[in-house]
Amino acid sequence: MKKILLLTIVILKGITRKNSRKGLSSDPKIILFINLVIFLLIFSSVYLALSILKEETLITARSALNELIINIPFFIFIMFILVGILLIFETGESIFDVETINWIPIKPYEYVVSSIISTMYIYSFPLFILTALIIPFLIKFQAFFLILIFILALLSSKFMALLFVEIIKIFLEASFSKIKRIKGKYLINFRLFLIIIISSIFIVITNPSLIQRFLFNTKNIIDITWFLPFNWPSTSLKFYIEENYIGALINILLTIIFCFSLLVLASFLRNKYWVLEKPSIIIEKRKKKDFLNKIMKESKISALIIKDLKAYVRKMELIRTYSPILGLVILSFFISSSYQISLIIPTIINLIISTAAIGYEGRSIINIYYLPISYNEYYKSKFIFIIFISFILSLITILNIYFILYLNLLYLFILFCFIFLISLLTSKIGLTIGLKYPKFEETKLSKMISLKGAYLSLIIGGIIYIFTIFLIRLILNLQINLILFLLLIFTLIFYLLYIVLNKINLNLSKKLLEDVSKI
Amino acid sequence: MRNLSIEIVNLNKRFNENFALKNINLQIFEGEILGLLGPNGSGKSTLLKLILGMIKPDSGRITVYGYDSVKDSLKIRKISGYVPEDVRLYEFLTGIEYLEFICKIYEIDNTNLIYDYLKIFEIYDKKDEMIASYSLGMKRKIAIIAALIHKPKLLLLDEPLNGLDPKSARIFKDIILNLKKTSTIIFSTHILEIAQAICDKIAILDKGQLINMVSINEILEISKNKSLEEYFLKITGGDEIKNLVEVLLK
Repeated sequence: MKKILLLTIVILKGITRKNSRKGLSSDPKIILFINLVIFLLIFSSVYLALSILKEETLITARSALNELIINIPFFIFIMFILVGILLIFETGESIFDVETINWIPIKPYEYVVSSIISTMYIYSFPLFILTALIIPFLIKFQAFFLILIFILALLSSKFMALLFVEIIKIFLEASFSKIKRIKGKYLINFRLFLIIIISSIFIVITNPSLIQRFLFNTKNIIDITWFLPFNWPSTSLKFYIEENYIGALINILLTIIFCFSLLVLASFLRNKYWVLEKPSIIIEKRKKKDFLNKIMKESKISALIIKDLKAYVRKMELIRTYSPILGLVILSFFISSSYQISLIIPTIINLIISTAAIGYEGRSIINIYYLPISYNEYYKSKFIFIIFISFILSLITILNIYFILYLNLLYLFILFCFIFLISLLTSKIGLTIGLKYPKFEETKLSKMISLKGAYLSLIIGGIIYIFTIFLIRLILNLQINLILFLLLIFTLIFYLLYIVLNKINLNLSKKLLEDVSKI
Repeated sequence: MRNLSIEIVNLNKRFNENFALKNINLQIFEGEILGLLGPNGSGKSTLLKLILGMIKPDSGRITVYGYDSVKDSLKIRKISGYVPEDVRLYEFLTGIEYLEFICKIYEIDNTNLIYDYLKIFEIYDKKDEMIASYSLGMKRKIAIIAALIHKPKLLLLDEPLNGLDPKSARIFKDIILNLKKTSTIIFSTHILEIAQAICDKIAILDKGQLINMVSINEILEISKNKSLEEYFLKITGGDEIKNLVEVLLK
C-alpha cells in the first residue's frame, strides 16, 4: 500500500510537471485545492438556490434528477474511455514510459493501480463539478444513501474506463513491439485519422446541448444493454431509485467484481509485457523527387518547406493542436447547415497553424542557427509554407460553402478570392505572433507560443472570424458589380497591410536568428 | 608558411553578470587540429558558438578565413561543419531525410557520399527509421555525418565522442586525421587520450580564461614526460580534487 501511494505521488508529480513546468497546475496539491474550492462554491450556490425553490418545483425536479443521475455514470464511462485513448496517442513516442520505472522493485499491479489513481486524480475536475451540482438536491430530498451509491457509481465508472484504457494501452504496446518495423506512413496516417476522429467525437459529446439530450435520453439504452458491465453502475442506481434494493446490491457487487477482474487482467498483461522492445518507425524513401523540389529552384527553401510539412503530419504536439478543431470542421460538413462554422478554417485554424510554425521546432531550432540559412531564407520558407496551407484551407472552406449554399461558379470564385485573401492575411499575422512570441520549450502540452502570444492570437483570431462572417454575409447580399468593386478595394487594403506585415516579420525573423543565446 | 584560418582578438563574452569568456586571444592555422580542454562551464562551447557566429561577442573580434564572425556569419557557416554538444536533430525525419535536408541546405547535388558515411558508421540499415527512435550514439553519428557531408574548411566539434562506441570513435578519429589535410579542426573534449592522439595544439580554458595554448610536444616537455591528464589536472587545480577524492575513499 505504501509503495502504491509513493508511486502514485511520483507519477502524479511527473505528469503535472511535464504538463506545466511553472504554472499553478504543476503541483498536485494545488489541483486538489482548486477542485475543492470550486466544489464548495458550486455546492453552496446550488444548496442556497434550492432553499428558495417552491415545493412543487422540487417535486418536478426530482423525477428529472432521478433520470439524470442514472445516466451520469454511463456518460462518465464513455467520456473517460475517449480521454484515456486520446492520452495514449498524446504521449506518442513516450508510449513506452514504463521503461523509466521498470528497474524499480515494484509489482505490475502496483504500477497499474498507481497509474490509474494518478490519472483519476488529475482528471477529477468533472466529478467534483457533477457531485457539487447533484448532491445538494439529494440532501434536500434526504436521499443520503443514494449519495453514497451515486459517488460509488461515478468512481467505479471512471475506474472501469481507465482500466479498459490501460488494457488497450498494453495491447497497443505489445502489438507495436511485435511488429518492430512499422511502415511509418501507414502508422502516421492511421494516428492522424484516429486522433481527428476521437477528437471529433469528444467535441460532440462535450457539446452542452448534446450532453443534455444524451443525459435525458439514455435510460432506454441502459435498459436494453443492462447486461454490459459498464452499465452496471448506472443500473445499480436505477434499481435503488426503483426501490429494488436487492437488484441494486447485486449490481454494486457485480461492479466491484468486474473492476477487480479488470485490475487482475491489466496486472497480468502488464506483467507479461513488462519490458517491451521499442518499435522502429520505418519511412522508406521514394525514388522520385519531391513535388516541391521539382517546381522550386531554391533547394534550401524547398528543403525547409518540406521539413515543415513533414512536421505537421508527424509531430504529435502539432497534430494535437489542430486536430480537434479540424475534427469539428470535418463533422460540420455532415451535420451543419450553416456556412459560418466552415469560416473557422481560413481564420482560426489558419491562425493556429501559422502561429505554431516557428515554435514547433522546439530545441531543434538550433539547426537553423548553425546551418547556412539566412533570416531571409528562413522567413521565405515559412511564408511559402503558410501560403500553401492557406490555399488548401481556403479550398476546403469554399467546398464546404458550396455544399451548403450551392452558389454559381462565378460567385464561388469571387468568394474564394475573398477567403484566400483573408486567409493569407491571417497567416501573415499568425507568423508575426509566432516570430514575436515563440516558445521553444519541449513539454507534452503544446507550448509553441508564449502565454502572451496565445492570448493575443485568441483575440485576433476571434476578431478576424467575426469580421469574415460579416464580410461574407455582406457579399452574399450584394450585386455582382458591387462585389467586384469591393474585391478591388479589399485587394488594395490587403496588399498594403501585407507589405507592412512583411517588413515587420522580416525584422522579427532577423532578431530571432541573430543570437542563439536569446532563445 | 601556413595560412591563418582563425584569429581571435581580445574576445569577451558575458552572460548576465558572469564572464563566459574573458580576454581570449588565439590564432589557429590552416590544417591544424586544436583541442579545447577545460572543466565543465569553462567556456568551450561558448567559444565554438562565437566562432560560428551563433552568439555575438560583447567585445573583441573573431576572423574566420578572412570573414568577420558577426558580419559574415552566414559565409562562415557555409564553409563550416558543426557538431553541437547537445545534438538536437529533427526527430520527425528519418536519418536519410535529415541528411538529404542538410545536403539541400549546403546546395550539394550529389548525395552519394551520405550512403558511404552511413555504411562507414554502420547505420545504413537504420537510415529509413525516424530519428526519434535512434539512440544517443546514433543521433551523434548522424550529426557527425551532417557536419562532414559538405567537406567543410572548418570543422567545429563540441564533445563529438559522447555516446559513440569505441569502433565508431576510432573511425571518427581516422576521418579527422584525414580531413586535417584540407580543413582546420577545433575539437572540444573531456577525453584527454583522444586529444593527445589527434590534436596538434591544446588550448586549456578555465573559468572563461585561456590558461595555456601549447603543442602536445611542448606539454610533454613541460610536464616532464607525464601524460596530458596529469598536466591538465596540474594547471586546472585538479590535483587538489584528486587528493580530496583519495581521502574520501579511504
